[in-house]
Amino acid sequence: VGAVDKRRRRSKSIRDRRTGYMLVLPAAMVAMVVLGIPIGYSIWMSFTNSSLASTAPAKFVGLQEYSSVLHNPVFTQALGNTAVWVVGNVLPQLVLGTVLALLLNRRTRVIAVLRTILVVPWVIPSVVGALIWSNMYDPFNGIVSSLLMHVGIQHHYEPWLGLPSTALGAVIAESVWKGTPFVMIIVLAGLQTIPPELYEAARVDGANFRQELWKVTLPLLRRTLALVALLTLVFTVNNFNAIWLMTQGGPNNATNILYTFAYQLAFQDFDLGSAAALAVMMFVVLAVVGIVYFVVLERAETDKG
Amino acid sequence: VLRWGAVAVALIIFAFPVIWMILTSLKTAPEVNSVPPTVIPFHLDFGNFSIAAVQANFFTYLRNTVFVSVGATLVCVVLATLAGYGLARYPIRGSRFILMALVATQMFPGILFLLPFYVLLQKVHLINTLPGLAIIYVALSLPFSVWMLRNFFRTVPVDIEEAAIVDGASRLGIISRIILPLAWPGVIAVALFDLILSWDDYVYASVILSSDSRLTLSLGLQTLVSEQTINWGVLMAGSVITAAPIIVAFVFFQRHFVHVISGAVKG
Repeated sequence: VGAVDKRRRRSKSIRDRRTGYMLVLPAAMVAMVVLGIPIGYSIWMSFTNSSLASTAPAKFVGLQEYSSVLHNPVFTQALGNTAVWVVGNVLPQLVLGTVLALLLNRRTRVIAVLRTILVVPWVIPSVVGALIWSNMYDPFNGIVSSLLMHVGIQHHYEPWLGLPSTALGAVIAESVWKGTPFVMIIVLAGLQTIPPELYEAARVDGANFRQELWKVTLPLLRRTLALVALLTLVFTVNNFNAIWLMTQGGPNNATNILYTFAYQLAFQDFDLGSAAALAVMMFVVLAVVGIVYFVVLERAETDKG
Repeated sequence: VLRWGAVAVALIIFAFPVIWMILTSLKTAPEVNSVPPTVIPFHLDFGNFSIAAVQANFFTYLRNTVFVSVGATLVCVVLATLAGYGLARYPIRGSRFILMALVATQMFPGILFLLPFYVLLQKVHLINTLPGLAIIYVALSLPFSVWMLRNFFRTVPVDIEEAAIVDGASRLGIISRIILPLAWPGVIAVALFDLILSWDDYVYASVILSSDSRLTLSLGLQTLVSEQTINWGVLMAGSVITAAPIIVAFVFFQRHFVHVISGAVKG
């Protein structure tokens, strides 16, 4: 009886496994063809002198394109800008998004409406967001300058996007405006997974709001915050639209980040090999960050038991 | 009081640019260019909207965008639901690797897809077509959709399905009567996410589409920026037309959004 039972169970598990593969197969095939091939193609391209400007077949050149990118003076500048871009985006978005989520973590009708209004910037298409802010920064009659003149901080209309000293900050403001709501959504989602009994227990023990925040809420949000930090980092590094639509990396490369630089290499200098090499390097750095994130998170999880 | 004060400030800052867009779209050309700028229009003027709709083809762009985004979203959600369910419920060899690979694709700078996509679509004669663009959008939103739905299914208790199997329900019956109703919130939330993603794009569209009658809203708007001398009134009217449908869709379908993402976060 035991043997028959076992055989039946095994045949069921084989059938199960087959069903599983059948379910995953269509998505896997689409991903392989439409994502896998382009990624593979890009990696191959990074080791060749591929160019959009010449019809000669691409030659394998080893790491030559990598070294040519690294020695490009714009690369150093773009790397610095990317650092400012990442810190200037990720930190404010995390802090603001978390604060907003904590303020709006209640289930009332009014709060639901407020939340929805706050999420609108994230839903708005990039082209629209960039246009609105370009208009608000207008050098002749922009509302941003106008408001600052009313308060007395400024005395005449500034071309916010046209000055190397202000352009990067001006674009960062737009992208924080657009990215913060997403952080808020994820943190709200994280807050809802915290069992309310914990707060009741804390209150019974006489904890005040601040103690609740630091001893209950934030420690339990650690995982959520780590995830949203990683997502925001990836989105920010790959946020091409905000910069390209507002300044195209200018003026004078003041807002050129690695991503827009790669685009320029590919479609303005027609140097596909270098563009691919830069993209592969960006990918490797992000992937390492991602792997470290998963390993650290997994270890923290096992430590907890 | 402090709490509501902070909320009010945040609300003003986050909502102002959107309100500014709407107000500017309703101003006449002289008022748009007035120094200092006015906030509230002197009298409401819908002329910018008629220019955007009639002269600038925004109705055609709207139809194209709906077709591409909704089409891509439907296909993507079906594929992702199957795969997400498979990954969550069945013993699949290398499922950890599949999930890692999905996350990794999101880290690859997407502009490098532009050229391979162009070549790929040209080979299958889908360049400068809306279905061609839709295929791209399916691929771009697929990884995150699979990942979210897989995590979502893991938060749905498996007992009900097992009970149905024991009761002798057919496979089709289980799927249509047990799994789909449970999966519905997750599917809607992911669909909303995919829709927002497709609606947002202009870069891929700019490489794949070339005839004016086939442009999407974002691309049409961007083309308007580069073609004319800047007419902010018309551009803001075009912006309102571009943003309004997706905002309405979001408000309408957002109910389960936070709940489903919280499942994905726990994953």
